Amino acid sequence: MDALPLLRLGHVAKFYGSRPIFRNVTLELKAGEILHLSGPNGSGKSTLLRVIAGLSRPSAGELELRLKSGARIGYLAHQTALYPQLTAKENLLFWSRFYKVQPSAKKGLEESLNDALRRVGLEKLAQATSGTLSRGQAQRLSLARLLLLEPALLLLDEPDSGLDEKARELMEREIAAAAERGAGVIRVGHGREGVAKARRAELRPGQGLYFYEPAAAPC
Amino acid sequence: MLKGALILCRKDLALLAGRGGGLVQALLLGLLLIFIFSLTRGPGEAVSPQAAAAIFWISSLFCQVLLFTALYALEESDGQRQALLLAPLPGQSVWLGKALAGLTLLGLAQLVFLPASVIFLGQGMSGSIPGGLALILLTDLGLAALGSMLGALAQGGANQAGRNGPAARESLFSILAFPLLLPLLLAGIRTGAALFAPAAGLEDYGDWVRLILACDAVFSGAGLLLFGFIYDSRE
Repeated sequence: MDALPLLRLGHVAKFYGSRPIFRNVTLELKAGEILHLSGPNGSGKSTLLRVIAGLSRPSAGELELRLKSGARIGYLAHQTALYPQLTAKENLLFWSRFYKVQPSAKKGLEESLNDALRRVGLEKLAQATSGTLSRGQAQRLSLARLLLLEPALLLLDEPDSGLDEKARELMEREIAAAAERGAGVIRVGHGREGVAKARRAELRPGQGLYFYEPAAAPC
Repeated sequence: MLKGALILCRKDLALLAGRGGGLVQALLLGLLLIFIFSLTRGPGEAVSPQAAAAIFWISSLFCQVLLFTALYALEESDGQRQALLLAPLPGQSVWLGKALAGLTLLGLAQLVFLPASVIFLGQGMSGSIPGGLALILLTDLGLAALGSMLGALAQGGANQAGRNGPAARESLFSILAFPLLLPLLLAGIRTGAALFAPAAGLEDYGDWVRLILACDAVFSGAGLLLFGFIYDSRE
């Protein structure tokens, strides 16, 4: 595994006008590492993920992403990025082509799509239009979309919202598998899901990140 | 960039043309305009070729406004724009993909508007048909290049104003598009007579054709250079 961090933030701050959202955020994330980010409402967790994804500009500080050429960032927020008129499989096909996913020689693209649907338990809904899926099913399909892209950096903003117990377990398994493949993962959440294997940090309003020592982490 | 644009174009065509999306609405509006203008002529009278060309292009223009607002609205319903921006492709792929989809849909609509103009406005296709069609296509290129840029701009403006409804997008698009498109439309109307007027030769339209080509080049260049800034929604 590469010793250099995949992502480095140095004293990053974000302001909307004169209102600080967060400031002095410093962190490093290595390939294969999972960071569980918590914090009260309004502390800027989602904004921090958007800044890391490149969807929002930091107001101050340094942000360094060490991704190989062609490496992808996977970003899952409250919106699923699915086209409601397309079927589940058509959605996956479009995004995999648009993100230039190269199917492995062993599996063709068709088999990769079926495999992604199978992994999130949606193989029977491959031909269902996304608009007819429940919130939880759409969230699972959105996760399948991300996993198909095999991102080097996976940014998940409350990925388990709207999921039932079984779907949450499935999501935890897939997130862990992505990290084992070498993806750096930052997930925002309020619950305890996936905390066991993750480094934990809390974003405190108007302050920086507070990292919990593994031993000190509350059970 | 081209491959990404073609993938996006194919998806948009499937959504807008294949699944009863915005194309039907745009077609109906254009046909309605041609029909209403046809009521202005008396029994047995024919509209002049120039006026018929003007009505044809006005219908095409309204169709363009509806098509490009619909094309960009597709990316706003559930965070698709963010996912497009995160793809490892230049942002201009989106501009080109939407322009190609808009060009195809506009061309399809004009395949209906053209015979409708002949029937309802009493025109004969007595001019140079291949030349006239080529001039329509050249004008369409400019409409699509600018339409794709303004569609993104109108969508961004409507988002920032907190009005993500079709009325806000279409109003903004129309305000931006009409002044910029005037020279191109004027040239389209003047050269439209090449299709409808008897014995009209293309050699009479040299200056207008050059104006169309200049507009195509300027709008395409502006799209390629500016689209990255226009579609970037980062705060």
